[in-house]
Amino acid sequence: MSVSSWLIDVKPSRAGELQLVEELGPRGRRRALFSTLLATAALAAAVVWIIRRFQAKGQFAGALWAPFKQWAIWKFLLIGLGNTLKAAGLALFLSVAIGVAMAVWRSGPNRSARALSSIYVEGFRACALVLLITFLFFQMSRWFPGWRLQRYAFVALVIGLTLYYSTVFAEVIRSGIRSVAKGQTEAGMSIGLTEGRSLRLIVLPQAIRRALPNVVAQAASLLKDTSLGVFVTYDELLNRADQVGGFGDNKLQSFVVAGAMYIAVIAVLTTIANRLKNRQGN
Amino acid sequence: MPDALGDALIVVDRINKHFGPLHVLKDVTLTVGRGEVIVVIGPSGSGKSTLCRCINRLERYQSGSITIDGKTLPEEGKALAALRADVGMVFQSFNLFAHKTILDNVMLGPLKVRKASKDEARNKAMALLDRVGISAKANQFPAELSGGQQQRAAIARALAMDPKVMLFDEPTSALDPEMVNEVLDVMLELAAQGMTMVVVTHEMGFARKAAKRVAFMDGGQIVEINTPSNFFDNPTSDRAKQFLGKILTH
Repeated sequence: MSVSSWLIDVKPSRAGELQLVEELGPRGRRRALFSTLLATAALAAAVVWIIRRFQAKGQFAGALWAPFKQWAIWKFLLIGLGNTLKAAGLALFLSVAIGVAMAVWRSGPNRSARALSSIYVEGFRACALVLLITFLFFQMSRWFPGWRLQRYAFVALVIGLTLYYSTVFAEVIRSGIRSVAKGQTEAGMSIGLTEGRSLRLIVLPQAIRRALPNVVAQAASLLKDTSLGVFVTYDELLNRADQVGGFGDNKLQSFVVAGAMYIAVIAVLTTIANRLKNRQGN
Repeated sequence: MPDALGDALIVVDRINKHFGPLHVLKDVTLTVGRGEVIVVIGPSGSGKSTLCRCINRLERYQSGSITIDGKTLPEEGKALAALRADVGMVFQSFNLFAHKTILDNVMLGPLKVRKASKDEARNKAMALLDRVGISAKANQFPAELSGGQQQRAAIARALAMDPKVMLFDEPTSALDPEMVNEVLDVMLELAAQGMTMVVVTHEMGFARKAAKRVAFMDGGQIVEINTPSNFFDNPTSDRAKQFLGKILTH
């Protein structure tokens, strides 16, 4: 079984790459080259300026970066990263599961399920995430007295992220469902599937496939939003970077390191997603 | 026709269908006998596709009733799904399940609706794919097949449900000209084997060869219904004469 070209929604060009614009002529090529050079120069200038400002303020002083030569500091930050991943992983799993269910309900034939999921999605999507998380944090301690502080923080963060991101995934997947041709549902119904089963068995797998790039983008966003755990004292990466910076009086350097760690994790996530896509695609 | 009622498989009784202000089916009545092949022809917008889609209620209608093998079409839900399982449908745009192989396309109905075992479903699917001449493509995805092959796969998918009747909604209209015949051949063979068929098409040759009766539709009504030879050689209504005059002169 070689190619499964159902994955490509639009007719691919010869190279298999989707071409959205007309190929450039000689003048267009000159203009593109010129603007590329200009943009590169501007970017380089900005980097140089930042480095010089850093230098002027003494931010490259060895003492400020010295803590990051110690394994203990890295270990401290990595534990924070571990907590970040724990909250992100659980919230991602829950919000994708709820998101898929909401998308199916909202696209399906059952009127009350449709109304319910609409209210859920429109409601929680409009909530400020920080508000949701802090509210849950304070309520949690009233509803379930006697837990450890970190447990309140973890549960509030995961539930908050799940409530918000499930609405995001619901909309992403629903738009995938809408992009699948109506004939697919009709064909399912014509062999005796109910509308709901046709949606789940025929349309949903194709919809998720199409929504995957968006799902990955939103998963990265979810991962970054675990940093909102800072507001409820959750012991995650940003929180620990802040502590490291406070202790060594080098907050800027700590945040640069933490930022690099976020970037690294998201790069890994994106790479895995691309591998997955290519493996399914060929 | 009343004499055929004793062995009528489909009875369409005065159905009316509106699309908003548009009255697309006006009191349409049609009886299809068991084993009969009826070809529905007519100009675009005459309501022939809509009629075809009403027979398994992919299209809702506002009044009238449709009975299949003595059972009135249920309005919705599982009962409707169960009835649809007995009515095969072939679409203009094939509508094969894009994420499944040809074999899985044909197996899906028997597996999920008829609760057949996997082996049973596979054997049956392979036999059907063989019958429509594309068993070599069983493990490929729909997009890898030509239009004609896809449509034959779609016919196999419908046949896998052992339908009492097959509905064809312009099955060759989306095909390249050189692929029309391979699909029509499969349909002719089906007709010869006694399958009850309602075929909406522009293929007049097929109508002549396979149809027991031809129904001519215009403006949401069946204007004339007759044997193919009578219809093509001596149409009685002016509108049918006009229509045939336009398409048969070339």
